[in-house]
Amino acid sequence: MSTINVEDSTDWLSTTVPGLSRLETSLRCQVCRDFLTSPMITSCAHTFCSLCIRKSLSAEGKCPACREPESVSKLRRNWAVEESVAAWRAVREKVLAVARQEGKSEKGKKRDATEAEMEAELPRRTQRRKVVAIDSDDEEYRPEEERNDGLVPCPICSKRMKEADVFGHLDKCQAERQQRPPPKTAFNPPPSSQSTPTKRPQNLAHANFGLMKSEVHVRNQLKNAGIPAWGSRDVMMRRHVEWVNMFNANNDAEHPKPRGQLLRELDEWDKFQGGWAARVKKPKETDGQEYIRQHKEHYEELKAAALASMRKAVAKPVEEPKEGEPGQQQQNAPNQQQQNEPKPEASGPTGALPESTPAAGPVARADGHSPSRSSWKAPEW
Amino acid sequence: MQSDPPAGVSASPVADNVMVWNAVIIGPADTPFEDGTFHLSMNFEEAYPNKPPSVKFKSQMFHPNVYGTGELCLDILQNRWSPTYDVAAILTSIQSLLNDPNTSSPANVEASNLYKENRKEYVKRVRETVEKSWED
Repeated sequence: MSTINVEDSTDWLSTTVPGLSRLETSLRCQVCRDFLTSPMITSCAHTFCSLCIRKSLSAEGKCPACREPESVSKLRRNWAVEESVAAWRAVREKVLAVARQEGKSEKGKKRDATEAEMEAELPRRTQRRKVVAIDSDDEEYRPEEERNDGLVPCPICSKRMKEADVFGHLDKCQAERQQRPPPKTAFNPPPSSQSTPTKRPQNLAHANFGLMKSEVHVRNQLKNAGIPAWGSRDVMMRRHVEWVNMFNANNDAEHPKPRGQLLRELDEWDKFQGGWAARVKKPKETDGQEYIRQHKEHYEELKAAALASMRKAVAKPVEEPKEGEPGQQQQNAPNQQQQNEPKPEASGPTGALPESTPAAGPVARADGHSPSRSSWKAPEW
Repeated sequence: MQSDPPAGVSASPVADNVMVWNAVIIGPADTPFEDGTFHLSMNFEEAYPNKPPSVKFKSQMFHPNVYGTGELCLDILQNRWSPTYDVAAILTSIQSLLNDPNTSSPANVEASNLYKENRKEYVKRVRETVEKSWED
């Protein structure tokens, strides 16, 4: 079987700084596992890609992490995370090379030394950063008296204009601001966002197809939105939902794509639907044994891999709570309470439950039930 | 999943269709399922991860929450599904279900009754499927 190399947070586990795996997990979306794109924070304070959370809320109006009811209107941009993702992605490759190289050259000594150095350097860096931030703030408030152009700056956008025009301008300026908060956090505003703020269309609303008795209404809805209006009622409804989600997520992007590109992406989505619909056409129900026989080779590989991972886990029996888990466990807390499940000792001797799996949910049922002799007794339901 | 697999489970897509995965779960130690090598298949829809995949045991199973067809009755694959669950998470969840059946809504009534009333016989029947799984 060919393996495709996909960048993910486990890349760090084999380096000299495995802890970066956890950092990276926190910068990735729990739904798509990719780096957070236009991150949005929910009212329950979980962050996802704009498109991921929008699609997910369309499917089920709950937060994917904690299952609290949520609606798109409560979503807010998470600028700090967006900044962090951008900054991390910019240096990732370099850091990875260094972290790998280091392991190769001098194991042991060197590694401890660098880690200590990094720690020692940390406070200094933070300080330096603060200073920079203050400096740039000062710049913003620099008195303007040296400019003798007879104009005054707008108190909101600092655009210079005749004093008499300010009031008229203010209304417009305020309205614009309210629609779209300034796209950057206080720290490190990139030059691009400073210049002309991108004009964004209003977000689209999801249609209430439940109220549309006839297919013609549905079709018109799509036509009005300017998207392809062919296919069955079901296909059209799903296409519209997809379009609204794509459109609004694009609105959340720092650099929105042009409409034409969005339409092409919608077309891709359509093809995917058709393609998969055809493929997923329930594969012939083969009897279990027959299926296993047909996939014998594949299953042999998988069996070997599963046994190997088992041995590896036995070899290092003490598993500290690891990367990516603490946060997620916290998120699970409500689940566990809802389920009201009995909780034996935290993690049984097999403690082998997934190390890196951001197993947010399945823990719901699995939690506290790691198979162990002591917990193996009559059911309590 | 492949670069840092959870213990005792493994999965990958079949050769010609990424929407169909095969998987193996090793029965957890210190349970009647110990050392079993259970074969599963997972079918994903295009709506994944907003819809759960359909997961099925291909090996013969004797478990209160597994139907004769191999289909599972597991909350996280139905009403408690969340798009944050990945393949590794699903499989480890099933792995822990093995020794932690929910007998309140049994898929296999016989297994459920034996589990509650005649544990010895239950274990014997489970061991039979474990041994059978080695031949798969």
